[in-house]
Amino acid sequence: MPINKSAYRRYKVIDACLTNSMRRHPNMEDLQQACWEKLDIWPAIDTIQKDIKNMKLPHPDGFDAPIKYCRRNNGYEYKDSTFSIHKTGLNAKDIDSIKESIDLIQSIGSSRVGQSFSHAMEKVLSTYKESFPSGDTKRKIIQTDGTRSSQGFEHFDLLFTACKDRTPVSFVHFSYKKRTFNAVTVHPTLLKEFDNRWYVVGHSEHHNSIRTFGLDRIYDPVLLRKEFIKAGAAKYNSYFKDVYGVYPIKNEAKQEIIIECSALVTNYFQAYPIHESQKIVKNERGDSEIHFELIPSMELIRLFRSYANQLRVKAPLWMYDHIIKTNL
Amino acid sequence: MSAKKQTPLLYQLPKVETRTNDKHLQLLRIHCDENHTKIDLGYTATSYFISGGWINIGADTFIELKETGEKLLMTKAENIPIAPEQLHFESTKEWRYFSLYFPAVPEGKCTINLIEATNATENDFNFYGIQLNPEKAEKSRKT
Repeated sequence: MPINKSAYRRYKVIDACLTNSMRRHPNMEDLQQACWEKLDIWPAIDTIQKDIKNMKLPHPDGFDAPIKYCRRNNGYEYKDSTFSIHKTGLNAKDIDSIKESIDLIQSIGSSRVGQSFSHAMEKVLSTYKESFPSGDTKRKIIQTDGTRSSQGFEHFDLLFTACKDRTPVSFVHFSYKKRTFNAVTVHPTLLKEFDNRWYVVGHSEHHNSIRTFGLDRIYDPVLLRKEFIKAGAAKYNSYFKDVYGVYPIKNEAKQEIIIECSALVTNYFQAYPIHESQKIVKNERGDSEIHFELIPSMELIRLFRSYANQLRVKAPLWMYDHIIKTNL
Repeated sequence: MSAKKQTPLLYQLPKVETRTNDKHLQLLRIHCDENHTKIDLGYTATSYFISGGWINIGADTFIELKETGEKLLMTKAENIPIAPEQLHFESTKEWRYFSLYFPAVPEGKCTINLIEATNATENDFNFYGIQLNPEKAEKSRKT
């Protein structure tokens, strides 16, 4: 049962009284008085007794607070004098879960986000005098595709701030394809990771449209003092929801894409669906026709091509032609 | 009494009258604040030279204020070696983003030249008549 807000405020006052070393063993009247002073309420004796009972309940209903009435001193006390409900109340299982989460985040993210999270959790765990799990001393049991030092990742923090605070940013971008530099002003909305690469997505003034820029091709981003241009939410939603990958093909709308796959490739699509619109229609031999509702993207075409003759695009026709031509 | 702080300005792809090395070198941005002028450039290696050739920047590179003739000598180069050191490309498909630092240019509208060599060849990094008009600049948060 969740703890309601007013009860939680009283618990905090009761906890403060029980941990006050200057005035130990508060009695019922002291607790009522403290609630009056701190919360402007004079709770009934029943209420305080109920609060104490609730605080003594084990997690997650209560705080497992070791409160007892001391007859010698005519007041309440914590049996464990170091106890406080503010000491988050993590049990061994909680601590293990946090440690596992840290490992997982570090493995998946291998980023500054992971580091910041680790540092924050280190503070929590240090209260419990738990040693922090170090990658050096612990056997690695999760291996992901995470690369440690990809080019341009040093801009992650600045771009994250720009997205969060909605601050336009100027940077130099190098196009691998055109082999030219460009200086652009972008109003960034999202940092997106795909296939182990990071991208910033936002409205580009230069292109007057939503664009995606690989962090590896970005140089020297600078925050600007100018009004942020917010592109329509619908535009962004479609951009993020209906695209597999990060580079949608210009002027292509969301459309039905149909592929024919061998039984082998069908297994992969079945095990790892690439989009929520994916629908597999199998035939008795195990091969299949798979339907998607997607905005075609470079990454989608690349994925299809990677299955070579085990996969054939049935629709749209232009995609079939494109794959055939580029395979020549 | 302290002087009023100059808002850092950023010129993206500023207009240029003439230049040398128009095939492989791009003038990308100029950052101006009260402390310095930073010029961002991009160089793309070419098949004209074996393995893309090499680049460096002359130690005596300066910017010249066209209106007054005042010369401001380069104070720092970032991501490009200063001559006689050279950066050799490994292939004809490489590129280099780099920045050159100079003392601050005066506030307000002005025209500058970026001069690597006074008797320039087509391989030198010279730009003439770079227009700096604060009205067309972006205000930046750092330089």
